[in-house]
Amino acid sequence: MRETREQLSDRLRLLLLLDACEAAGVAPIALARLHAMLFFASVLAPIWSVTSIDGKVLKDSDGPFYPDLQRELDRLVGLGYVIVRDVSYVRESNRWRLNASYALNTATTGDIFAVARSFETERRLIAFLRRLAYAISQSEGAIESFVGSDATWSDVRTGTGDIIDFAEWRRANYSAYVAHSFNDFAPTTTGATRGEMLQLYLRLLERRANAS
Amino acid sequence: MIVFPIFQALTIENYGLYPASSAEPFVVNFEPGPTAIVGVNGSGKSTLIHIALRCLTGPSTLPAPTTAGELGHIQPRLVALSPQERRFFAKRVADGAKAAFATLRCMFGKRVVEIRRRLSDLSLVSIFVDGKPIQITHATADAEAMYQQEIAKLFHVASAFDVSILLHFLVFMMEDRRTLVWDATAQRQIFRILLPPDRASDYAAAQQEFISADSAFRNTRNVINRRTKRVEKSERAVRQLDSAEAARTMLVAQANVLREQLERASGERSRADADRRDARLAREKAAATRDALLRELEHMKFQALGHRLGTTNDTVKYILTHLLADDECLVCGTSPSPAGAKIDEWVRAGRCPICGSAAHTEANVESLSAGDAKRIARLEQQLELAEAQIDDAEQRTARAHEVFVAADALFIELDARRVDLDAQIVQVLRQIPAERAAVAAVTDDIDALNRLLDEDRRGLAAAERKFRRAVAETVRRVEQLQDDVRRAFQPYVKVFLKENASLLYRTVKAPMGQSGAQFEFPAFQLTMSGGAIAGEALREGPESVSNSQAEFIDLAFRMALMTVASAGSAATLVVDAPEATLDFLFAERAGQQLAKFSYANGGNRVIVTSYLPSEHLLQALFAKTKRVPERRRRIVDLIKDAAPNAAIRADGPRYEEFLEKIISRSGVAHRHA
Repeated sequence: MRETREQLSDRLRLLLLLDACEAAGVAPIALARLHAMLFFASVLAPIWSVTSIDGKVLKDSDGPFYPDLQRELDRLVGLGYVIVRDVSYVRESNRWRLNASYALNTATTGDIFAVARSFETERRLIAFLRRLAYAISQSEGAIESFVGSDATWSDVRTGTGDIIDFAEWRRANYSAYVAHSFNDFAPTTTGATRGEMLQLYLRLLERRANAS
Repeated sequence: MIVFPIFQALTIENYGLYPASSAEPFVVNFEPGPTAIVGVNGSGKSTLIHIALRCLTGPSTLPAPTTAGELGHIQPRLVALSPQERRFFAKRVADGAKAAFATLRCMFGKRVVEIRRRLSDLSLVSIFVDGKPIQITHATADAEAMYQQEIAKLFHVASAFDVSILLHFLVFMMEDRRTLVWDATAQRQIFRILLPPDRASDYAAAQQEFISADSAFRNTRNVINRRTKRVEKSERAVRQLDSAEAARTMLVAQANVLREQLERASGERSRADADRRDARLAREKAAATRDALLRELEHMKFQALGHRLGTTNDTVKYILTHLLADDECLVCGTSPSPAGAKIDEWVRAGRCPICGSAAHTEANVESLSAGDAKRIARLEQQLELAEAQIDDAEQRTARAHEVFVAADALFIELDARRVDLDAQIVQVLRQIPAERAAVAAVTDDIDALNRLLDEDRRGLAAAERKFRRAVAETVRRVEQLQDDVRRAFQPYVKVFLKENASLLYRTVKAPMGQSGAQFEFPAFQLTMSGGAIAGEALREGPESVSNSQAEFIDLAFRMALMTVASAGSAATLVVDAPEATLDFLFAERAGQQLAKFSYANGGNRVIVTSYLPSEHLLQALFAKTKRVPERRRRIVDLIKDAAPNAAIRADGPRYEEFLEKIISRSGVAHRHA
């Protein structure tokens, strides 16, 4: 079977994300958390001037889930780049879901990262994903529970069951607007760094989630 | 919060269709819970509920939209029934209903209201609120106007028009079967009424103002166009146009053509955008469904494998279950895998999935059960279906996206040409000498009209802004309520449908007036699973579900809206002949759905008519009414009380016997006990 460029690119981004989890000490990462992280990596990508992993997501009552990326993750397990643990299947909201934890197989992925680091775009993506994973590692709560408080996800103009389009055909990424707005409150001489904006935004979501 | 009427009693006097009403008033009481009005065809069941409706609306009705899409555009004003229509009840009896009266007693919250009308012409005789009469003038028109103000106050809405919308689209489901869930324009009216009365009234005024401004603008433009043509003709006759004027005329003509092209391109772009969004939604839903199906398959096969491979190697199990469920090898990516069928056969036979050894079986577990095998076969079929849906939706998305890109490019190109043309017109106008008095004389009135057009244009822009604000307020209101409506819908739709169905909230772009202005209106749409569909898909019109499903999905939507709009207070729902299109199983579920609403709240009333096609609906509707006398009380028997027609004369006892079976719960009672 011949893979498309999008599939290969999705696989690389998944590996970089798992590498970031490894670096931040949050590996192995459970499936729901991984998809929540993919969501945040997509909506917060503009802060780091990187392209969103996916500019849209189905607004499901169980939170974000990317079936196409999950397919590629499954392949990465088969290819031996990703190790899977604690596999089980649960029935939730009238449908079946996979439960598992994923970690990078560091023994097989070294060469891939060596090549990836030689490209500027991937270096920037690695820096962004690692910063995101660090920010997440410092949260006390589970990040999947923050999604409901996210500015883009909670926009009531998109009903549950519809598609949230924030960067595919529309430009309506409220999460990035909010994160950028922290810049307005930072000392005028320096402004908030990208990392601070990301960190502050996730902290805001955590506080909102705890308050609700 | 809207206050819905809670029907208590309908009293008919001296109306020939119900002979019992001549000797003494014929009283139909409505207790909390269900009531059924039963009788043979033509015995006056629908007439009875029609009388209740007319007691409330009087001799006025909603203006008839000429097309389905126009309800959102109609003037929010009631129209008077014609003298012929007012005699609707009179025409059904020999004496013209000369001495016939109907009195509807209902509660609005804690207030008791009695409305009494003449059946000969629907005129208002009296209205009592909490036992006190409301003073009405003698002139019929004034009396109705006063009544309409009073009834709007009781409903807590802005106008009698809003009362009629609620009655026709929520409270009464009559023979015309006006559906709400597929009628975005009717939903707009309901959502407007959900605003506080003064805001709902402002919305209606803003809409009317916009439509009037739009029409004024077009009228003036048409007058100018006609005059311009005349003037241009005479100008051409009397003198030679110089090149600048010729250029101006040509450019203006081009600009007019361009404006029309722009309007068309804008519409085309909106349509294409909506199409590609729908296709993308279908694709994403199918992909999510595919994943869920795949995981269920994996789960079943994973359970079988768990025993054979022990707990040590999750990755091997993960790869094997995926191979078994999706026939795809995660290691090399081959799909379908050549070994898939063999391994599947081994697992089904309880053999080792790696080498096929039979010895392995003895030490371990049994092969897959027949039930599991059947479920697996069904899941595999659905998985194929989901794959096909994904492919189809991807193709649709790609096609629609292509159309959108082309429409967008055309729009941008036309708009750029328009800007360019405007600049050229300004340039040319500067070249025309101002002193051309002769031309000025004949074009003076056009100039005046053009000023008027400018004023109209400004008026239209202001009206558009105002209406946009009103629409945005409704959108916000519905957005606040969307989850409540979706939740309230679930229990009612679940009783009737075995498929999964949900409401999807979205805003829908629609034009208003003819100026091309588009507005984003709130709307609920239906997503539903089905035999030939994997997962839930958007059902865009009543034709995308069966007739009977359409009706009861709509009823569930009405029930949800009434629950949310009344903030859970009691309400009445009246359904004419709900079982007309149902088989026996669906008739039973329909009865359960109606019963559920009737008991959802201590005070709800559900009134249905039935021509007794079967006993199933009524048995389910009265399942909670165990005692025979109470059942008898809740069934209005028009076989006995209506004027006997040929069917009754011939087969009256048989009808009575059938009805008695329902009342005494014999025959099928065990199913509902």
